[in-house]
Amino acid sequence: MKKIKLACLVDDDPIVVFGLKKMMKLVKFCENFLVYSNGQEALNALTAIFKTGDEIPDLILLDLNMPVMDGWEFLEAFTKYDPPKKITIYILTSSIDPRDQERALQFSSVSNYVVKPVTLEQLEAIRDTFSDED
Amino acid sequence: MAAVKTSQILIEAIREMPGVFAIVDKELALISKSKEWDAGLLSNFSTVTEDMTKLQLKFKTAFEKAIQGENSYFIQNIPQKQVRYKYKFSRIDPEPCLILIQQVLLTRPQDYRKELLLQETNKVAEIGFWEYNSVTGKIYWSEVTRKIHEVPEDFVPNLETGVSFYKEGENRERISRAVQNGVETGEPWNGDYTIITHKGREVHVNARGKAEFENGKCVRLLGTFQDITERTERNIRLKKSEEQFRLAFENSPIGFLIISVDGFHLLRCNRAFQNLIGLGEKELVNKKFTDFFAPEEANRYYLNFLKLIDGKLAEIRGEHFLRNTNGVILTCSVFASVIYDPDAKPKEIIVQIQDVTELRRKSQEIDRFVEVTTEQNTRLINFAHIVSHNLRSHTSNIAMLLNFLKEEKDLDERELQLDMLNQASDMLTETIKHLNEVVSVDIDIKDKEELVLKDFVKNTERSLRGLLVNANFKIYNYVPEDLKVYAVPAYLESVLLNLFSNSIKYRDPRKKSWLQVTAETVNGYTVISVSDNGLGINMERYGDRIFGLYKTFHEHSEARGLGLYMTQSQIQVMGGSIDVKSKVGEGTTFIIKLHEKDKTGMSGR
Repeated sequence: MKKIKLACLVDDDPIVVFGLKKMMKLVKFCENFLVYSNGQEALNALTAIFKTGDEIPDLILLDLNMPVMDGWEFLEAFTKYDPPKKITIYILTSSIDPRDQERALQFSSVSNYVVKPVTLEQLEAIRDTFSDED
Repeated sequence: MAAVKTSQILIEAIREMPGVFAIVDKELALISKSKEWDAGLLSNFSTVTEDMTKLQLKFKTAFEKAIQGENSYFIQNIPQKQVRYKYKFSRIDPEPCLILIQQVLLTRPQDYRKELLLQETNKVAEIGFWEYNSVTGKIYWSEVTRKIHEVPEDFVPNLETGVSFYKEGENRERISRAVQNGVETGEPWNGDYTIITHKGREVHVNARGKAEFENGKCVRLLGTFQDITERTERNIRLKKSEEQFRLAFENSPIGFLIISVDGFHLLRCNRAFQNLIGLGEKELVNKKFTDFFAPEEANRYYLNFLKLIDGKLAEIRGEHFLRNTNGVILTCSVFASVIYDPDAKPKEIIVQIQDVTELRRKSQEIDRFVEVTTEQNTRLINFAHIVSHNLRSHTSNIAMLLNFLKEEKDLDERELQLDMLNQASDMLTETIKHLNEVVSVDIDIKDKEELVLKDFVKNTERSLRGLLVNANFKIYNYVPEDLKVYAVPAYLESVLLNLFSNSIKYRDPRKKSWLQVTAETVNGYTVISVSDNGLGINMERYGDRIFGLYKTFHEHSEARGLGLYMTQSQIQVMGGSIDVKSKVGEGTTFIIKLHEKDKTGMSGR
């Protein structure tokens, strides 16, 4: 059984970040997590990590609508990189527009699309699918 | 007196004989004559003058032969009467010498040859000939005449049957009158009649004829017959189609006019065209057609018409501007083509004109509606997207926080969560306010006014004075004094305010910040450009989304992602456009294009 060691949360909404942190602790989602407030920040940090050889996150929880660099741009940019290890991406968004969901799932790196608000059960399910892999 | 001389009997007999006879002695003294003999006849031949005519010579020769006891004759030809007479001379008694002269009206062999010739030509033209000799009572019908009457081979016509072919009633009465009149006055007749053929068919004929006279007496009737049934029917059809054309021409809602090929003068025009121009036919006729075009088109049109006549243009077709009598310019659909005469020379130009001004106006209106509807539709889609996304992001936060609060025991933590709940609630309210702004961008044309741009720039600067002083920001207003822009005042204010505050917000703190406003008029548009020396926008990256809703490009606390979206919406609703040029580190220029004035000329419609 494999646990999520490091998760990465990309969202500009402090309330969402607050809530997710709280729920992640509750369900023992992961050992550690990183928080970035938009795609650009996350991309900068991750590419730095790839270079320095620091610990690479197992999972990214990505919001779509963010300033500076939104989730879409992040996905476009991120797929150009070849991370040293597989990073699973989950989209967390308030958008219930089916076109957004369709578009998100066209990225091979995107595992699933979760509509906010995220519940404890959903986090547990993500955690469990993760542990069930290999 | 033992025996009465033969001559004596003859002298007595000819007095009563039918025909034209006379008995004269050697000296041409009249001994006896028939009733029909014209007493003055002999003097024509016998008057001795210096130069004797041919006829007198002929007479003299024949008469002298007769005196010698030889039968003789001569022929008098009277071409002007188309009559020939044969004068026969025979001596009936040698002593005292008595000469019998007989005048015979000839059925002329010459004319028969003519008739044969005529028959040939008439067969082609289907013209029949007939002749009635009132002396002999004989009637002659040519082959074509017989064919027209559809009579059998052995049919022998006479005067009564000739008339009885004419259709009973008006036709028969008319021909009878005409012939009667012709016989009495010598006036020829010519008319179209309906006859009933031997086979009972109704046929239209043209009958011409005349009477010929000899010494004031009708001696012959002759004339022609032509079957004009086909022509008549064709004429009836033609008349009908002409009438139909006339009605169509007169009553068509499309303006029709016929113009001359030299000078393009109006020859005829129908009611629709008169109404279009606003003048009656009398006032229009002889006017130069090209003068009805709008002045800027008249010359070009004149040249086009020349080309049309030269055959360089097959037709003129298109939409053009005409000017009516009130000076109103009308958009008209024009079609012109040339009518040629049988020698393939241009005869007239026929022009069709339809006023499509209203149609064009309607279609422009529809285009505008489509544009407005499309814009509104885009706004609605955006609106739905925000409802879907932005409202939900706040409500989901609220739901999540409420969930926490249900379980949370820790007082400090509850305090924090309640505080966040408040924030979420405020943001929800804010978002709803934004959405309200988005949907309220909508105007009627009548809200637009011609505004003095420079004043609006000044006012905007004034309302931002506090911010400008704080940021040490300078605005340069280079707008020409009297430059106008056709816009909704509130929107123009809002657009300028938003662009100016963006420039202040995203100024480069390392520089002495400024923005400048310039404007000029280009092709009926007022083009305003607002340039700053601020941070600039990465166009490669954000160019396509710069005016998007809830798009922000700077990490800036005040960025709402609403301003430029609103600005663009407001400009578009006013019928204008906005464009942007920018370079990171150098600055940004927004170029706004708005109408200079009410170009439609129908403000309030």
